[in-house]
Amino acid sequence: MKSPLSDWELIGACRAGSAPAWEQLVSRYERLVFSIARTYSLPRDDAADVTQTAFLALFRSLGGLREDTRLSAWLATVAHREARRTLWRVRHEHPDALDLLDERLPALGGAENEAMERWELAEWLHHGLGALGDRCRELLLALYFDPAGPSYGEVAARLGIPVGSVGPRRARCLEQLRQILQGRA
Amino acid sequence: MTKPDTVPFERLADWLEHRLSPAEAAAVARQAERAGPETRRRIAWLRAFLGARAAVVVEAPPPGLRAALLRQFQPPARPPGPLRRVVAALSFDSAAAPAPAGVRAVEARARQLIFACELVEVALSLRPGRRSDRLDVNGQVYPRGPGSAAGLVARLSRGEDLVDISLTSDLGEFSFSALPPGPYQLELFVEDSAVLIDAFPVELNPGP
Repeated sequence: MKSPLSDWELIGACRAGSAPAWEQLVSRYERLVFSIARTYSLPRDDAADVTQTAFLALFRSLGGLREDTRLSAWLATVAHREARRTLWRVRHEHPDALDLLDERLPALGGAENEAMERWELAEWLHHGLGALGDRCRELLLALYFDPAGPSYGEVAARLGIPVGSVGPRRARCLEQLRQILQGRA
Repeated sequence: MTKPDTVPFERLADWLEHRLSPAEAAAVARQAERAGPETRRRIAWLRAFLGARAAVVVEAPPPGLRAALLRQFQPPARPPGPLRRVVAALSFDSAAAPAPAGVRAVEARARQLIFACELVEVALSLRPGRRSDRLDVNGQVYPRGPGSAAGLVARLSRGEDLVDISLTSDLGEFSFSALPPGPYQLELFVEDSAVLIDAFPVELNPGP
């Protein structure tokens, strides 16, 4: 099986003008950035704005990224910062919403460390998921991260694979993910 | 064939996800107790993964977001060349200049630095942070040409370590907060150039 292109290879292709390479980067990390923003309990529209800002920053930085840049961490850093900036903007523009925000936003106040830990966990997971092939990534996202908790049958139908193959594929994909995250892939 | 001290990965995943019958789960548990180090490592990793998955939000973005992100990509009008690197030099340091008459005491707690190169001027203001041992840095970019100062990427690093990334506002402002004192590098990406401010001091008073 052909292994997926590395982030660095995709960045090089983007620099040369490849729109499909950009699409692959977006496909890999769109969820990470959006999810980090949502970790701060931002409304979905605001989380989408944070995601657009982060990818715009990535596009503008393509020329300056180095080969040793860990793209998931880079994007997570921008997402984290932009999510916090959005929170502060909301606080200043709508002071009457403070009570509601303080109630909803775990990133403010005493739970900040917890939010950071979750952010780092999200980055860790997405780094590995991003390095998987598309089919493995979609399978693991469906099985482990879909809040609807779909059954094996539903996942099989969604991905167009036999239901009997879901379990073995899941194990292979998890094993790949483990090797990536342990730096052995 | 499975080695005596190993348990298939799929079986371990089923066990830890409670997909086995009680009898099957008990059998895997007994195998796991006798298993070798590789199986134990796999179990530990699976537990970490399942714990992490429960702790983080991974949410599907709205359907229209993907299209908006794809529209951000604009192929370069010309073949990409190497990034031009431009060093901005220090042109003003308030800590090295006498305080003008009338400057309030509180202002004396801030330090102003200005760096300049052919592309931009960058003004940095260093102030004590909320924590007494940390500093906040606010900056503003002033392009020397007609280019916009908005939406530039400012990357702060210390040695080989990335510290933070900020995007400039519509007015070219950016900020970094709660920095431990020390020398930092700031890079600003301006079109096809990287403006480098090397080893600028994040400290209120210059060292000896």
